[in-house]
Amino acid sequence: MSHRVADLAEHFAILLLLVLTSSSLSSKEPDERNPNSDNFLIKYCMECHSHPSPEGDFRIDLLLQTKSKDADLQKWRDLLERLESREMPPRGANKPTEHEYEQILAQIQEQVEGIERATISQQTRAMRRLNRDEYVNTINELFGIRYRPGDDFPIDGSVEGFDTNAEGLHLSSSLVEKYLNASNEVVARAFRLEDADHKPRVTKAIFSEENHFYPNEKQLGALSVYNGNAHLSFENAGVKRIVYIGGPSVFFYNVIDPIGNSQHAFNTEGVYRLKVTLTPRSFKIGEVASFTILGAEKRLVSEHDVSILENGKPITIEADGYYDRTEGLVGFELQWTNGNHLQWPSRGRLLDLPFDNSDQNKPWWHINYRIENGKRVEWKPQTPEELPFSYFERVEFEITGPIRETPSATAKLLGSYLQDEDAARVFERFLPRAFRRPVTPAEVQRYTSLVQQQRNKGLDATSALSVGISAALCSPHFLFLIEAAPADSPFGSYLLSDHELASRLSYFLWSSCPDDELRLLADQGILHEPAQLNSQVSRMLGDPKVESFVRRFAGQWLNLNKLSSSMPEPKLFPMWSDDLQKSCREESIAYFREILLKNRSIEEFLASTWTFLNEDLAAHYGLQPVEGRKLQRVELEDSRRGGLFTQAAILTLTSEATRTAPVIRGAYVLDRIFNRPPPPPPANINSLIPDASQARSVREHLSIHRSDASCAGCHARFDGFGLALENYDATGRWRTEELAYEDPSRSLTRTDQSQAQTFMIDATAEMLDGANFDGILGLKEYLLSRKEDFLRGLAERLLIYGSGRKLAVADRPRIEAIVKEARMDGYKFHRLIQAVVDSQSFRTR
Amino acid sequence: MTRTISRRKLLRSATGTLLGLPLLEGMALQSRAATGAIDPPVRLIWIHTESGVWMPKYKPSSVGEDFALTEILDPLAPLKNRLSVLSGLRHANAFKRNPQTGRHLQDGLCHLTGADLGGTPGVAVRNTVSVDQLAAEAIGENTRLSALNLTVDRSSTLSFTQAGTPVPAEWDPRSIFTKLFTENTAEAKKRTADRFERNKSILDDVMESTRDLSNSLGANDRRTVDEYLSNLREVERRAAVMKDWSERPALPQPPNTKAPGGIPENDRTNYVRVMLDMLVLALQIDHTRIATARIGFMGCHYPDIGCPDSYHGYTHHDSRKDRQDAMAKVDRHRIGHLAYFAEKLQQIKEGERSLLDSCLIHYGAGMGAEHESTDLANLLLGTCGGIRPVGHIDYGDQPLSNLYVRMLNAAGIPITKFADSTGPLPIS
Repeated sequence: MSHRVADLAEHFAILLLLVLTSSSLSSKEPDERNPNSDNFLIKYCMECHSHPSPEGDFRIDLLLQTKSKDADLQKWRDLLERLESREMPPRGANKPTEHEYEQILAQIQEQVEGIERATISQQTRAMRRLNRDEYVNTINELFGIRYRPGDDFPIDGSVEGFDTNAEGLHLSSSLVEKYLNASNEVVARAFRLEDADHKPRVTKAIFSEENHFYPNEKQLGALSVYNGNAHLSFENAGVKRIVYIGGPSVFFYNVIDPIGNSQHAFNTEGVYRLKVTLTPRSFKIGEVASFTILGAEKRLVSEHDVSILENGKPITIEADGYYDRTEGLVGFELQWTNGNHLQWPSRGRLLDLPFDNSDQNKPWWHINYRIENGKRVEWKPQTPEELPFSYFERVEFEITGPIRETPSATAKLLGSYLQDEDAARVFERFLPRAFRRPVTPAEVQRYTSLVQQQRNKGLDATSALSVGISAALCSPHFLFLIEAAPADSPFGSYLLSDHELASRLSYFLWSSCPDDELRLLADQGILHEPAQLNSQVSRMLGDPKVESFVRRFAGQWLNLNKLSSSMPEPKLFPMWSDDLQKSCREESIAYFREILLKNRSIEEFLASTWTFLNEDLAAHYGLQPVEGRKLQRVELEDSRRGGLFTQAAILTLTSEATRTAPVIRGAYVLDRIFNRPPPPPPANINSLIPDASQARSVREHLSIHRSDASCAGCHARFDGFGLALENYDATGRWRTEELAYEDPSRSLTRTDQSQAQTFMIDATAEMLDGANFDGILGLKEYLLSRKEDFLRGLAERLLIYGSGRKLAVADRPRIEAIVKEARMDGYKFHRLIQAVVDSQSFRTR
Repeated sequence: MTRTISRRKLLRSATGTLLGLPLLEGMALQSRAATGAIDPPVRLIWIHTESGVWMPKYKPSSVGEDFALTEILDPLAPLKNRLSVLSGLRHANAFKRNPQTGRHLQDGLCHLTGADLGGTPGVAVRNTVSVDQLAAEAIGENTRLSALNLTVDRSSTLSFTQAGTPVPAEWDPRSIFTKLFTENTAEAKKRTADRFERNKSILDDVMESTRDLSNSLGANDRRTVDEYLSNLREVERRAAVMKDWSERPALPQPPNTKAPGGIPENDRTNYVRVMLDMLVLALQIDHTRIATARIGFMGCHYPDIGCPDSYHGYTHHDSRKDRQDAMAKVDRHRIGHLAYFAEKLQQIKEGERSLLDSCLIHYGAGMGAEHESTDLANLLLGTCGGIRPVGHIDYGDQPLSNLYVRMLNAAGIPITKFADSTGPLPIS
């Protein structure tokens, strides 16, 4: 032992004595420490982690002195994690025996639990309100309407990565005001109260040669050019026509009748009927034209196959689309099967890229290249027939809407509401659903008398009833997930009642209220029985409502929502488009859905021999062509794909616009796979970093950073994951060469990339635990070797999402039980979810 | 009757005119003529740019009125006689470590609150009131809207209530425009009145059942429910104010006013300017006198000016000149937004002066581009409320909160203390 350590040990022996004296008054004091644990820390940790130059800014000496346990809770947790992973003490240092490790871990765990009992139980607000998605799903399920008021609500805060935590679900008067307004709008829609805003209107737009549309974009008001990816265009001089319609929001926001110059405003959400009449011009007779109508997020609305029997004879297709303000609704996209034209690569991109609205007098479209196999090829159409969409001589659109329908759930709810006396029956039916529990006669009475008051004021029966329903929708019993824990019961000690459990379960897997079956089992008081719970979980996973779980959990767990703000630089990544971005996102979602619905092993998140592709994605990945834009499951022969970390969505959202960012990718693995996010970098970070402006590659660059010991401590834990992914560029394409880091083409001053300086990628990595691997194959193997850690990470994420709270050290043994159970069933996803639901951690508050 | 309404009545009888009405040209003249010399009210605007500013190209090298504008500040050249560049201000509390929010979130969370968020890990972060809300409480009742909060990043706001909960900001220019003008038809007034009656019945019932529920809960849950109750009361109060306003003459729409088309999602420059246009309109018709605007955030990309990576990506510049230059370019671009905004205000006449003459516009970052919290980029545009431009002044190391105290004092709000302030910042 060095002198320094000996001095310190002596110094702390005195301090320790003081601490113990002051806390030994009560033997139940939660922060009382076992002196053995202090000995361990002094022996193994103090040399590096103490004044004056503590490694990683982590001071064991302070930790041992301090009396303020709450403030140090996080540090104790960090300490626990570092010891648990055996990362500390580091390689090369004096290592404790396995027995010593186990002892110290048990001791610290106990201490930390004590601190948590004393702090968290008093301070965590476990009761939460519904979040935006849950609110919307719940009212739509209750009334059978499709209304998304949540889009106007403030965005819910995310705590520990999810929007189900009370701490992120703030209340504000503007939100409460929106609840109030929404409650009025819900009943207006459900009960079809008259409102001028909702009268359906009809708008027609005809595009034909006689109309002389679109000499330039000034007159192109017919379809917006904002996003540059959705156009319908006919050239003025009567030469040729291009029809390309796509890009969801565009179509719906900006359809103008070129004759009457009136705009069909899509302010009101609801069903709109689209009728399109196309007059074919140059189809082969007998050819089948396939028209596809796509909705928000490119989801299929309908498909129409029409045989073209005669050119010049109009074809009409119709579809209903639901307009939705944020999802941008429903675009309308025509695709047709016509030998040549399916070959046309990267639909939309052709017209998209050359679009330039800087010059008002230039024709807005001037095609001068096309994209083949991901590369730009100079190309100018010589004859009109070469244009991909020159096949119609006349296109008519007719839009009618919003169209109201009678919502069936509401009809059921209202039942035979004819007389005022029937109001009680309506509330007897409605309140248990809305409040997710049985209600008392007094509660029913409260609402019927409210309705009666309105009647007395002269309101008609339906309007009066609707006031009562609105009031119920603003009630805290509806808006909050109320769990009747006895006053201030200690953390985790209250077992949820069956009705509370039904809500927790249905908001976990459906993000909506419990259905009749769950409520019935809760009414009977048997939902909590393990067999019931298991079979309900199975049933719920088979219900279409589980799609909410798929999109919401996968989206937040994998941070897919960030993808839409990734903007790969177009000059470096010409393939990237809004369409491709959506396909990427949908690949990851479909992948998650497949593993969940088919009850696959969660190992397949890390490595698989299949994925979901469409034509754009297959081209992006350089794989065998896939036909059509629908994502389909494809068996892979190439093991460079398959697994989350080969997916373009994840590789892109962890990159910068012009380059990859191995640090972000590495941190992502640690965070999302193992649920062990690295701590944030220290303040004034740039001043710590050695000058690396001479580095050529990202790798060189990072290795310079890691020469600084204070950086290396953390970065050694995760940079390797990112470096092993260097064969994927900033949009997830495979590459073996990289542009030199300093190459000016990155700053876009040079357009000719052929002269850019390149060098071969090195994707080798070394991990803190001594593991070495090379590239994606090595990474997959390594991750699979740690599948138990991944299972734990995923179990924790599921529990955080499902229980809506942070995890505490007290949850650790329960998480181990979940891990054990899922392991015994071959890591199957359903078993994992069942084990989470079965867990005390899920079923208590 | 609420306190708000009676206060306004007092104001009306004291001045012989209604301060809440638009101070359009002519009207403002009249009001001043009628009462002697009432200056137009001071408007307070806070504009925030996230993730710092690249100081080497921002901070002037000399102090005093004759300082030379730097590359980043250059777009303000036409407004230099109204400009005070305030160096040496710090956020004392901004970066007390809170692992839950992280440094970047704290940037925006603390910018106008100066709160100490370094609380106990594992326990909910509680912010404190932001300076705009404090101002709104004091003088907000003189206008239809007590404060207008804008953002181009939907998920964020700069503004927090007394309870420390976020006040959501507006992100859709259409929705702001609608609130400015379209609610003033006779038909809308009838609708407002009917809706008011209906909502009153609903709110009465909900408040009663919320109180009942509160009594049956443990302390933690009761706190949440009580918070809901106080928000219900606030909604009720605000509804009464709105009803009161709706019975007054409509605000005239200034000539050549155009409704915005939509959110130019992929055109950040245009998006920021459309939002600032809405703010100009709101100030012009005296819809509000207090505003915050968040015009940049760490994930912002500016491919249109040759800076495709996120601003945050550039701040981790690794001593690379190209990234530092890109930061400076973006910073200059954002200062250009400020110049655009101020020049628009300058073109609007209010009596004999311009609207800009009664605005105090703070532009600043909650952290430095090096992620630090001292010597932040802060500047003030404005010449009212006793503030005279000082050119460039270096305070050495003073709390940013002192500036907020000074701004509120300039608007006639007699506060002496805000967050970590030590007194009003001397600007003269």
